[in-house]
Amino acid sequence: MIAGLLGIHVAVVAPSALAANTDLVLILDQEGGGRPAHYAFLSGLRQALARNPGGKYELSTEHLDTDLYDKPGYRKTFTTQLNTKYRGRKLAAIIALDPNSLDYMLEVRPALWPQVPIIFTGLDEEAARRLAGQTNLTGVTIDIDPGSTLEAAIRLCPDARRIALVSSDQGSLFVYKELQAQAERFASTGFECIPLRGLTLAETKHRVAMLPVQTIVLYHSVRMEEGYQVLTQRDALAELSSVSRSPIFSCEDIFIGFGTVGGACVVYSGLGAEVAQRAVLAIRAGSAQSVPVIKSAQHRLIFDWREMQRWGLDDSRVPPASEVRFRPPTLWEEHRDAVLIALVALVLQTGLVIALLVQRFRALQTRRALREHREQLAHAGRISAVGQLASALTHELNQPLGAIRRNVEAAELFLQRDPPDYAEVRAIMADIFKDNLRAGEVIDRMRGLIKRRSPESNPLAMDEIAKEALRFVRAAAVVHKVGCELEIPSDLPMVQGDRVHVQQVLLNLMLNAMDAMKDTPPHDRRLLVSARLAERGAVEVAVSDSGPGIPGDKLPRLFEPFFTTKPSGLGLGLATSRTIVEALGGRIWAENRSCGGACFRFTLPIFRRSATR
Amino acid sequence: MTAAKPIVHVVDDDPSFLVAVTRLLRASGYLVRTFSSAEEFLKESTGVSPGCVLLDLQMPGLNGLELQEAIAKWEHPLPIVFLTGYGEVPTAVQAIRHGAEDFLAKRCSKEELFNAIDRALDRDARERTQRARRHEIRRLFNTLTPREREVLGHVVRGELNKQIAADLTLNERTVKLHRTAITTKLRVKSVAEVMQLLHEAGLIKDGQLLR
Repeated sequence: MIAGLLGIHVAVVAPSALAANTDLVLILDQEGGGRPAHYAFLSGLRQALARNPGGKYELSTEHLDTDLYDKPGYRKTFTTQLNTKYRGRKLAAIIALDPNSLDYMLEVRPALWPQVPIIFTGLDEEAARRLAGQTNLTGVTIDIDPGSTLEAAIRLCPDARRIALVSSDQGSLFVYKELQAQAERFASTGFECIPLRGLTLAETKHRVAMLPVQTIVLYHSVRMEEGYQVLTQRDALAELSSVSRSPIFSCEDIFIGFGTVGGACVVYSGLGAEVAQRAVLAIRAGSAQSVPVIKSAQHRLIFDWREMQRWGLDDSRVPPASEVRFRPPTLWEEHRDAVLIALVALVLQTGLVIALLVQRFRALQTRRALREHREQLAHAGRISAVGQLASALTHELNQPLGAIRRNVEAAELFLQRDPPDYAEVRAIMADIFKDNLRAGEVIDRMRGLIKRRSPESNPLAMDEIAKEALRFVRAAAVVHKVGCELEIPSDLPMVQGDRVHVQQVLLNLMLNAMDAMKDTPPHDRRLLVSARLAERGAVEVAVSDSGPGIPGDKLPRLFEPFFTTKPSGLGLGLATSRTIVEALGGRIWAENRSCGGACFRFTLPIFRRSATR
Repeated sequence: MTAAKPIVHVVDDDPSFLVAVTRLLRASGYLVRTFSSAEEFLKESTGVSPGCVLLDLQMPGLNGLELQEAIAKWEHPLPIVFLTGYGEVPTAVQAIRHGAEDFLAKRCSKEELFNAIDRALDRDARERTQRARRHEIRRLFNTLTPREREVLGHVVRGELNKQIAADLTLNERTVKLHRTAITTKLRVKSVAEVMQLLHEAGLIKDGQLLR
């Protein structure tokens, strides 16, 4: 049958087809549409109904408007209009949004829609209790809560001394009662209460602008006078806010964003959903009789972060469980994933950096230890070299010491003469002084080699270093009958290194060379120290001998520690030399000369001004 | 056999020590010649005149030991006193074995040095006298006729005139005449003295006359 009806009516008029299939809900309120509260409520209601499965609803809104247009006979005309408008339509439920609308509906329902359930809201619990005698009626009571709002306001503005209550004298009576009660309550705790009641917007603006600081303004509404009707209470709030020197609080969520800090607010869209739920229950049951009246749970502490900033209120002081709107989302809130990734990356990076730092620190420590060990080894090497040179050095020392002794003995004789030969003695003294210096130099040279020291990096003239090294081995060269030659161009660039270390390398190589020529006929024993400019900014120094050369199988192992070809050798001389040369940034290698004998070469970087530390 | 004052030859490559030791020696009355290397010494000295060598062991070029070898070949090898900055035992042993008079440290006392030099000079004088005598003996020896030398060879072996005569198919009287000629030429009175001379000149070895 339904299908048949559908078939007929769909062809003729669509609304009728709709009507057959949907539940028509009539919504009546006092002041009319377009008000923010009304709009929020309806939108909550619509959404809740739309989400409700199994039902299709049609909404129709009507406005009683008796506040402004309560002319004699108007109610009767309005009732007739409603009757005419909805004739033939079956109403599923009636929703009354305020006490006046409810009163009206309760009055006209028996005649117009006797079986239709009425769902009310806009009443407090006390008013609802007085409706106990009514049948087929349910609803959602609301609780405008200026008390909690003021408590929150005082918490946010601890310096406040005054409370200004802005309200009209129109609308629901219970609101003003509640406001009055709260005013009395706070007056008793020492606050000065300033009632700004029943004033027009212009008057209120003037008064609010004149309010002293340390005042909390609680805004509910202003009296709308003729000419200001185009404005809503929310617009009025915005006007007040623009002139106020004190923060304004309020009890309705629709005001948030229009100049109020916030407060314990009724959430109209939530209320709409609650009312929708009552309506759905009543429609399903066919009556509101079994649907209990509930108290709206839709009021929450809501604050506007921007207003708090404006008044310098500490947003950490908002009561617990408050909703703070318009707080710019923190980076975390806005880009959680990106922040997470960035954080993880940062943590990983930090970890990596720390790991690298630790590694670097360890490497530095190791390098320092290595450097120390290297210097210890080098030092040991130098002592060993001095040991090898001991007899030669003793000879070098005994030479001047012997000369001094002979001179002293001669001087005695010259002094014993009659007359003493002072001229000769003076010559002797000069000679003694010279020999003393000479002996001192030998000792200084030896000390320079033996002394423990940390390596330096200086510009060094290779020919000077080589000459000095040669002075060391000169005596030994005489003993071993080795002819020493130096072939170092004086215009060779300076090299970069540690004087003693470079000298040590040269000494090692020269002593080795002399050792190597032990079995060479004396007149063939030749040691040549030469140097030349090598490629890549280095000077190459060569120490060549005329010995038997190095057996091919031993060439690659020469610089290994403890590798030695000498029965009494430790095998550290060349290893130490390599360590020293490499630490100075050069390299060292050995080769056999085509004309016989071995040649040890090493490079040292050319000194550059920028390379100085 | 020359009456010239002996010369102390100082060979040292260290000019400072050379000057100092020369100064001391001259002040103490020695006659000194200085040389800064073994080569220089060899070029300028022959050992004809008496003296000794004060020789530095370690020198570039020819060292002390090598110079010692060269001097040893001389007709009149000068006695050597080695001076060294740092004495190594094997070197010292070698030096002494090859006839060095002494082996001193450069820092030795004046007295040690003078003693060694004096000993060396004494030895040189002694050896020169000996060499002169030997030379004289040989000169006399060289005046012997071949037959006389032949007879002397048998005499040295202790053979009797009869045996000598038989060996050389001479008569005994001729042998006697030769013997007298020998003693006369060698300016001695007895065969015993002849034997002593021959020994002195090193002309007898293992009971045999050399040459």
